Amino acid sequence: MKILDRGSSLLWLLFSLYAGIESFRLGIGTPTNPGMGFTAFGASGLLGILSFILFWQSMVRKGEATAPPVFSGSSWSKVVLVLIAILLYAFVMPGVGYLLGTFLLMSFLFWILSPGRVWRVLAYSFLTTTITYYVFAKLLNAQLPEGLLRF
Amino acid sequence: MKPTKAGFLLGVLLAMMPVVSHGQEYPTKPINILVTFAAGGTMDISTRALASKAEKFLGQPFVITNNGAGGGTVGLGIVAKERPDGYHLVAPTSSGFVRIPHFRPVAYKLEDFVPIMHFGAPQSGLVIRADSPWKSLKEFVEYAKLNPGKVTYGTLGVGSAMQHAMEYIAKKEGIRWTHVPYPGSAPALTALLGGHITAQSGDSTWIPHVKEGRLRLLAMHGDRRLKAFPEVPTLREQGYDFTNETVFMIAGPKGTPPAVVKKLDEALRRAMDDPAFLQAMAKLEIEPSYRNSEDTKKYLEEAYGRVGKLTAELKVPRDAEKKQ
Amino acid sequence: MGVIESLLLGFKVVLDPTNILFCFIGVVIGTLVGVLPGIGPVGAMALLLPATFKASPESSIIMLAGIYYGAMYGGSTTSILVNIPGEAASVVTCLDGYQMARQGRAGPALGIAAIGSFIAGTLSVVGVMLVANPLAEAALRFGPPEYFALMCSGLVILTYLAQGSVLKALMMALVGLLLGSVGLDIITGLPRFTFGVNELTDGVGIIPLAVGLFGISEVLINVEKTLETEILRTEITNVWPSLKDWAAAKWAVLRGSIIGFFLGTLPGGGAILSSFVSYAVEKKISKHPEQFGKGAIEGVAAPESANNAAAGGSLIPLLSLGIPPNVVMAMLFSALIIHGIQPGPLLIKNNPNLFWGLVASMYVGNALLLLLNLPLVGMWVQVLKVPSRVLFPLILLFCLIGAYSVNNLIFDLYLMIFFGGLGYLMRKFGYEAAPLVLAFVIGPVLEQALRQSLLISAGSLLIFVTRPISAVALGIAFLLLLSNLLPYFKKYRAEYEGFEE
Repeated sequence: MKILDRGSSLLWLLFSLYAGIESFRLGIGTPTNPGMGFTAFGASGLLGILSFILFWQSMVRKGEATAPPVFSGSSWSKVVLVLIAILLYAFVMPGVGYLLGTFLLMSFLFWILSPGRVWRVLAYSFLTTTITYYVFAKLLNAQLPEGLLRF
Repeated sequence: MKPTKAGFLLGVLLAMMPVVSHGQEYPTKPINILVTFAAGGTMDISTRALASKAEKFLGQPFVITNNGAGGGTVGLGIVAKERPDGYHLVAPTSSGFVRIPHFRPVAYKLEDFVPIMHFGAPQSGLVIRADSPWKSLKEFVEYAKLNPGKVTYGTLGVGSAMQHAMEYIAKKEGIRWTHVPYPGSAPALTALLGGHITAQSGDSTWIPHVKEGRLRLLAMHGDRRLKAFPEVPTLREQGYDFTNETVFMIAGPKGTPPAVVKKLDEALRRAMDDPAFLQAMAKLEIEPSYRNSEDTKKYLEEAYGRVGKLTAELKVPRDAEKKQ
Repeated sequence: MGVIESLLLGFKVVLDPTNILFCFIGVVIGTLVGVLPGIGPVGAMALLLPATFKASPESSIIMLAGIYYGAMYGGSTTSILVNIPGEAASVVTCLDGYQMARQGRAGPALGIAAIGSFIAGTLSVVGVMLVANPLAEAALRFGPPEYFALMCSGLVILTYLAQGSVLKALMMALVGLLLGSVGLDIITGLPRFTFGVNELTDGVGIIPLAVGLFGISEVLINVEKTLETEILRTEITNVWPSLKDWAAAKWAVLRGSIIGFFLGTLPGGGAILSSFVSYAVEKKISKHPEQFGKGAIEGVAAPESANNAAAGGSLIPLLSLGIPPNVVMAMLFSALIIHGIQPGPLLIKNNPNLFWGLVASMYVGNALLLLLNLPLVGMWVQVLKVPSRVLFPLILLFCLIGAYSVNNLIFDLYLMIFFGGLGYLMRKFGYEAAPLVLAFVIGPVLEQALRQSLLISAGSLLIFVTRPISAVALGIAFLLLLSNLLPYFKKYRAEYEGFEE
């Protein structure tokens, strides 16, 4: 964890610096009349101090010297693919509509987790898409994008 | 891919095509109204009463939520950036347009909105706890004069008419008292009941508590006395040249289609005739008061100028918070 | 009229067939919206409100209240099964509930959640019945400084949620506070940290945040592992809580109920706060705190009892003062107004039928919920038999629909995906999400209380220690923080000295 902490604490330190500067610009005000950035400035200041402590600890604490394998040995590329897939979904779903968008997403997700069975993947996707559409849009009156037919 | 598979895929895709019945008229789904004050205050109660009675003319329910931060300016700021599809409305008081912008920067303009109508004129006044020693506004003012900075009063936000009423008195009498903003008249009332502030300058949410004898009403801000407490005089009658004139209104973001505005206006106006709505208004002594979309807009523009002139005369500091 | 007679009157009201039916509909719908992420009790109540106008005031209030406490029942289900909080008040249930499910103990977890909810719901009704008025008066004693002190204790308590480093938990809490300040400023109404994004004007939504950090990140972690193991394919040992489970959980249920009931009476996130507090209390007094976060049944029993008891407690300010403490109570409030009833100090005196009918209906409704939910446990457990290659895409889809349907905003999807990715990385680097979510929720309340207090005291911090309630709360917070940090420092010093040698 030590090496990991060193990196992550620096990231949080940067984040706290940024948030601190931003909240300072918003105006801290005075104790009598606290401004918009008052609490945010306090919080980012504390975060900065704590991240620094974590960083310092990671430097001086004894422990494992090498980074444990965070990503190796795992199929983390799939994680990235899944993230890209749902981002794409969010991007195109309003345009193509819930039904088509969801069908494509589910096909991809089912496929990436157990590739090779196209028929079953398509059948599952079809079922989940229609059933969720029925439950959410029809029974619960949720407003899912209608898509294509608007054009 | 084999033809059968392609065919299957095509079939699936076709089945995905949504079946939409065309030409459905607004509204086809529930309409959101964001009330710009916390739940339980007069604005909230009257909007909910109105909306519940307008539903039957529109065929869709209203979903009412509250955001009382910033004296109502947060709610307005949020809805100003909403989609103008007629499903995202805001219920503010006219103060948010005609009064607050004179005193501090806000995140929206009147031009960001299309007023739909206004439906009521609230009454506000100054209340203290019944166990406080002061029996009249005069005694209260005397105490505040002798004890600068001791008196705290709550309102529903910085820049509200209720704050200005207090600052007007302070200016005239040379008093220094402290304003504590709450996200609505209900939370401010709770704070007064709990004894966390000395007084509340707020709209008539306090009526039941005054009736019950927990609170004492010292002065009304409007141009008339309340029917429930005819013995309590207005500010004007007590020598302070200040009148709170506010209306409760409904608005949508700029670009809401005129047909939608018209439909909403009509449904809401018809709801104003409902006995249940009128009864809810009468309990809080809010006067039903109606203008349509265009007249409300004209009224707001005119009131903006008028309030601006008045406040310039009063010389209430521009950013009322700074001074404290 | 004594309590017994009054209660008999109430049961006479609720045992009317129409009212029983409304009560049943209410709790069923409540369970459903509780189970599904995104659509919460507020949306469901708003949709059903018009349907109640034609009914009597008693029927409509009974049904609307049923939706609320029904949703508290249902909220735990997805937390336990798939690590998606169905309601904000069930976030903390994810911690141990999901771990229990992974160990094949989803049945006992769901069972104890239902039973705990039943006991807590019933106890809170007794509370409403007996101490509504004095408690409402006590809640009034909480002004801005008291809130500030209470929220500070809340922040300290979250360090008890930490399974790993307390330092990191505190850091996450501060990140949560910063995220909570995104949006328009609560006093001036001007934008801050919105980066010019219109959708951020309203702040970061709790559903995209919580579902992203818990649900999406969980799926991502598992997607990464699917090749190696089918982790959810653990054997389901038993469907019902065993006697041993029950023995471990019974005091947690009781303590959770009491904490939930009292915190529920306070405005502003009472149900959420009480679920976190009760969890932290259990962990603190437990003989085996190291098991928390690894599937301790008390970690499910306490928060689930607390959020149900809070649902009962939050009725008190509404019924006895006429002040709704949260949005759900505002819906009840407006239903009363529309029926021409003024909620307030005189409600109980003027409308005994309504008040006692509601109280009695909550006894009946809680019993109905137990009858409804216990058989469902067996069904829910089957969900875990679904192979992970099918289950995980489905979970993702539910997260997406849930986050979208709150505001019908695509932006919320992006936000949720962002927090999903962040949550994934946070887990990899040993940061926990629970403190972040809690601080996010109480941040705005904390900030408002702080700024109001400083206005009242003219900038003097003494206001927090000269008022008894806030002084006590801050004192407790300080002691808790100290007792939590001391062993940490000791350990660190020992390590450091070891390093020197």
